[in-house]
Amino acid sequence: MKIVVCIKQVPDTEAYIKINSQKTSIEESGIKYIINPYDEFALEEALRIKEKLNNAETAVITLGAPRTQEALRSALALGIEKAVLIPQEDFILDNFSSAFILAKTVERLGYDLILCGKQAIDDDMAQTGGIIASLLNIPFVSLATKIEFIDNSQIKVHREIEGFTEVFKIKLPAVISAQKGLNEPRYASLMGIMQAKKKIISEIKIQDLGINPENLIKTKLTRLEYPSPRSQGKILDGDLKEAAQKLVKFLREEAKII
Amino acid sequence: MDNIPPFSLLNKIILLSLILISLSIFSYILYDRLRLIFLGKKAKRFNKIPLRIKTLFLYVLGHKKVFAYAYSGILHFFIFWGFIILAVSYIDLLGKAFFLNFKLPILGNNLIYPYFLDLRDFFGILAIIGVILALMRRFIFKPERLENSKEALIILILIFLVVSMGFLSESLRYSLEKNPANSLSFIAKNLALLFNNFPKEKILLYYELSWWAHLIIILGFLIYIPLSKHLHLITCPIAEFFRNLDSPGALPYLDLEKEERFGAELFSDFSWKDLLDLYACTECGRCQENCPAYLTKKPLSPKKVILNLKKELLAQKEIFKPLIGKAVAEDEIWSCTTCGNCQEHCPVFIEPLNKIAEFKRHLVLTQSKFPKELTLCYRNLEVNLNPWGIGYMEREKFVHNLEINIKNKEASLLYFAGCAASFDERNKKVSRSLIKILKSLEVDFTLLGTDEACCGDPARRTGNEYLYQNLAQKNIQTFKNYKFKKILTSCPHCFNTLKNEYSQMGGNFEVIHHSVFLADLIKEKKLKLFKKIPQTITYHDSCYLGRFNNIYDHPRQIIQNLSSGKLVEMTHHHNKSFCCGAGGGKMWMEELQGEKIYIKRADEVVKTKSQIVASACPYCLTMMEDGLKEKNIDER
Ligand SMILES: Cc1cc2nc3c(=O)[nH]c(=O)nc-3n(C[C@H](O)[C@H](O)[C@H](O)COP(=O)(O)OP(=O)(O)OC[C@H]3O[C@@H](n4cnc5c(N)ncnc54)[C@H](O)[C@@H]3O)c2cc1C
Ligand code: SF4
Ligand code: SF4
Repeated sequence: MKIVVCIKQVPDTEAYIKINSQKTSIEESGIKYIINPYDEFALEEALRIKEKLNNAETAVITLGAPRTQEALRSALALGIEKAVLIPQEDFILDNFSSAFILAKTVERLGYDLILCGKQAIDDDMAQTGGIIASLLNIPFVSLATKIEFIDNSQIKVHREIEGFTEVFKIKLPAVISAQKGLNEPRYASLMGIMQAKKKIISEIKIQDLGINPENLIKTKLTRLEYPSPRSQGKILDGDLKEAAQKLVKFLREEAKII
Repeated sequence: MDNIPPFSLLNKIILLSLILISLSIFSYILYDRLRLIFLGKKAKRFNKIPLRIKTLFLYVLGHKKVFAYAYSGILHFFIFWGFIILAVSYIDLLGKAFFLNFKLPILGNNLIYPYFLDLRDFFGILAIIGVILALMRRFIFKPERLENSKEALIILILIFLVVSMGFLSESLRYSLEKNPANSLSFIAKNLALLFNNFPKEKILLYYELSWWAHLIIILGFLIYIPLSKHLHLITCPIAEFFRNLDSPGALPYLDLEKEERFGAELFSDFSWKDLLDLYACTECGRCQENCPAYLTKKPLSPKKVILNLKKELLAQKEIFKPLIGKAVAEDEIWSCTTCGNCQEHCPVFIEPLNKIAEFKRHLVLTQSKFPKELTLCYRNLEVNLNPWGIGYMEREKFVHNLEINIKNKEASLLYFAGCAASFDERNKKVSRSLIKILKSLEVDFTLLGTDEACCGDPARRTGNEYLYQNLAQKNIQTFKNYKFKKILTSCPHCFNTLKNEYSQMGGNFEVIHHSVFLADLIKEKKLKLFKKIPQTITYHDSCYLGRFNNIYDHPRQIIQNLSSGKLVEMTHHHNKSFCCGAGGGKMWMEELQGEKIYIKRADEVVKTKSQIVASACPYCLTMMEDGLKEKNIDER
């Protein structure tokens, strides 16, 4: 059983995001990066499956800048056995091209189960898992909240939708994207961190996969903009009657809703 | 000796055999127990010898800490000294049995000996009084901290028998000899009157019987010592001699590069001193009586931790098995607020807190098993360098519009605001006020702003030594780029960590807490208060300021300068202060078991009827306000 987890390093949710001067990306300085939180559920699930089945092998891959090694290192510290970095180099990629590269890498590593997060919290595309599955022509279940093994070739996947739980039975290999609630991610032990320091992170170059990303790009990001600032809330003072009068006046004259 | 025949050869042989047999049993049991200590790790306890010798005099012979509880102190002092003097007299007794002309060195001198006998009688009586006081305490007053063990009763009866049998045989001897030169013992002289009408042979018979009975009780007692909690007779002086002389606020350093095992899972992960402590515990229960976790009905009693570990050590011997889940439960470990009451009040300097801390380290670093709320706290510390998880870039926002020269490497004072003062709304008011004071006095100070990281206390106290060391290292590196002479802190946790713990990692800085800083300014008349407030105030001692750093008076001096009202103390104050419940990373964990610690403390505040409760710690401030709010009382 080969499990491959795709993880992405994303800016911390608390980071101050500044658009760079070309307006095509964000300023990296001062940003702290974390593993995409949904990918942590995917990692945890891989570890749990490994602990349950005794023949499972786990690998983690990421496509990104050299700094994304930290994310891989953290995944190794949790207990994932193998880590692969696909350096993004200077390519400007979109969802399709990224997923294509990931799919090719997974093919090379061998796979029975591919796990990823439901979406990356930076650009929220929620596409990668689906595209990988299509490219590999295998089943995809998004937003999984529970994965059960029937046997080595079949799994049941639960996903929560408004008012229901859907349960899918699918044949492996497959791609599953993880949603909050799938599990409770663990915290790396120091033992794990120490062992991870000694492990080797292998690299697979985009060119070595026989890919020219330029030919794959289907969408192009042209500009990033800040949302328009929210205007300040208004507090109407005075007693009940006065405030009500002010409110009516405001709704009529300024907001022009009544 | 006219009337008492000297010991026959046969008697001497019997006596010698009895002594040798009991000494062998005693030594064997003692060896069998104490050898386990050497299975522990190394500990640096051979430094500061003069101080250690002082400990022997002050705390062992002088009972300084035992006297913290007056009743127990007195009774123990009587029994302890009675024992020492009697032990010497037993050497005299046995020596005389073997050699007719035996004399104790120095004490046996004809001029001194009579006084020695008087002293012996005097201390014998004290010991009996001690025993009676102890029996009264155990069977009439029955404090909760003491359990009525059979052991304790046996020991008290044995002490009583040893002393009284000694008196009996001594007085019988006196009535036979009537030789004042041989015995000036006043007890013997007076008790001997009782036997005036007895026939000589009877007295002789009784004398011999009582002599042997006395001897057998002594030897029996000897064997019982290492078998019972009275092993502490032997282990306490040693444990006290080797006590921790480093700052009580510093947890032991863990070398993450060199060590292969982190924290304690097995007995072999503890130091020999930790294992010795298990044998030194007197079961007095003072630690338990002051433990906020125990007092709020959580599953932790520091006394139980020590005793269960001792029991387990004796059961496991040298085949070490995991302790967590067996001798100590996980919820016990996580109930500890690291308030330091147990070590503060232990009469023999045992540190249950540090043993619990080693278990936490093992759980976090090796097993990664801890209350799940801590995961978030750790992540927040890793990424944003504060337990709240607010973006690290926000750290300096609280000083907005105060016009301070942040990150000024030349300033002579560094105000290390800490996380609470930088991110928590209520505590920002405190740090802003402090900054205003500094500004008004034109102090040359600066802040680290976004270069500041959490001091690491929440990580260290919950066992995450790795995260702590990363944070500490980061701060130490930053500090070294600055030229300040002193660091000012407002949080007692930062204060303690920077002052007592950073030195373990090469960060030696002068650190001052704002309560001391302000009290000094007031004393020097540099800081003047224009108007006094009229309210009565009660002061809540923070664990990390008080017990761990001995700062009790400075905050009170400030209060007295601030208010014309009275300063009233709560039921628990100074070194007995009750924890607010937030220490030891508990601020970041849910308090699910037992009663809420902060509510219990708030009750004490309410009882003082004071209008203001003052605190010098941001965590305490938060907890006290929450506690009082829940009791529908307004904060101040
Ligand atoms: C600030 C910012 C800067 C960017 N800079 C660049 C750039 O310089 N060059 C460039 O080509 N693109 C850049 N992108 C685009 C980005 O790399 C792709 O859009 C992304 O790989 C796919 O979109 P998503 O993250 O929304 O994926 P989603 O489809 O939302 O992600 C779902 C899941 O797919 C997996 N996954 C996604 N991406 C990766 C990955 N890279 N490696 C492994 N697993 C992954 C994860 O499991 C993730 O949870 C940038 C995006 C942002 C927000
Ligand atoms: S440190 Fe405080 S809470 Fe922990 S065991 Fe000791 S007395 Fe109890
Ligand atoms: S640890 Fe100390 S205070 Fe606690 S019971 Fe033992 S001797 Fe007493």
